[in-house]
Amino acid sequence: MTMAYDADSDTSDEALMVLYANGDRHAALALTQRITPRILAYAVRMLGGDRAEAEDVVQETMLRLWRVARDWRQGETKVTTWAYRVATNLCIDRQRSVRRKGQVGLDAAPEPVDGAPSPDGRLQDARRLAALEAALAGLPDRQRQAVVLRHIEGLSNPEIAAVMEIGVEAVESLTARGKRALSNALAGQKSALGYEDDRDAG
Amino acid sequence: MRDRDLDDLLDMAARTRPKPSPGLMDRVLADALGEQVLAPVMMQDAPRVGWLARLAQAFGGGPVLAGVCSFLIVGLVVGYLDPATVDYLTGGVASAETVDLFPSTDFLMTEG
Repeated sequence: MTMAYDADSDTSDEALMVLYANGDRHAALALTQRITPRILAYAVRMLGGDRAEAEDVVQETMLRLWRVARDWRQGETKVTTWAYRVATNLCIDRQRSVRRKGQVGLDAAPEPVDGAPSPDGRLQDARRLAALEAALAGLPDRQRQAVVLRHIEGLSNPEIAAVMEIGVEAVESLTARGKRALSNALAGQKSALGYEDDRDAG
Repeated sequence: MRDRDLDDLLDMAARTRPKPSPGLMDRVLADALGEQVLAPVMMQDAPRVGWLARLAQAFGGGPVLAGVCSFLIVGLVVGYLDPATVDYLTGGVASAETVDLFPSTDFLMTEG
């Protein structure tokens, strides 16, 4: 069987949505391969490393995407922007639900994303990533969203503004404040994470 | 913590994206194909209506059209029948020559 499209083909996500709505099964596969990894990575960061919750968020986001495909209007919104927006709302809902219950189970505790046991530098990297996850989890929702989208997912400020439905200046402000808060949160762990003291830095 | 260290850490996080499990990809794809199967059924066109059915609808539907046809046939039959036969049929009604509608008001019509 020859594949008409795949995750790397030139066909745009928006065109794939139209093809999907018209019954093209290859378009379904291509969209799954393109969108799912991005939304999963984002949801894991937004949910403080809780992979099981993140997978639920991804599946729900994608289900809503399939259902909206029939009414999709090309040129209005990018598929990824739409998916990030839905995933954000689902993540925030889940976090609020956890906060209402007033407990964070062991499963929800931040863990290194790359959890494979590794010696030397990789173990250090895993510690640093775990610390970053924990620091991100401590940020206000909007700041965490802006920092993750900008510095981890690599979206541009206008794209983030579209996802968050705010202005570009507000995105810049949220990102700056988020980074400052992250820096402060991680400052106390510099030695444990193997970072040089600021005074030692050249 | 230095800005450069934080930027490096964020870069590292960007490079170490969690990858979706095959199980998640299978579930998402199954949902996609499941929703796609439903779509054509929901988008199916309504059954095509013929011109005769549309004409009947214009006259108010089947029962009304049946009534109109019945009266049309009666009209044709009456039109073809001999007038004597019609007199026979309507004689009971048409034979009355005068009908006194207000017999008690005759005194008002008397002169003088």
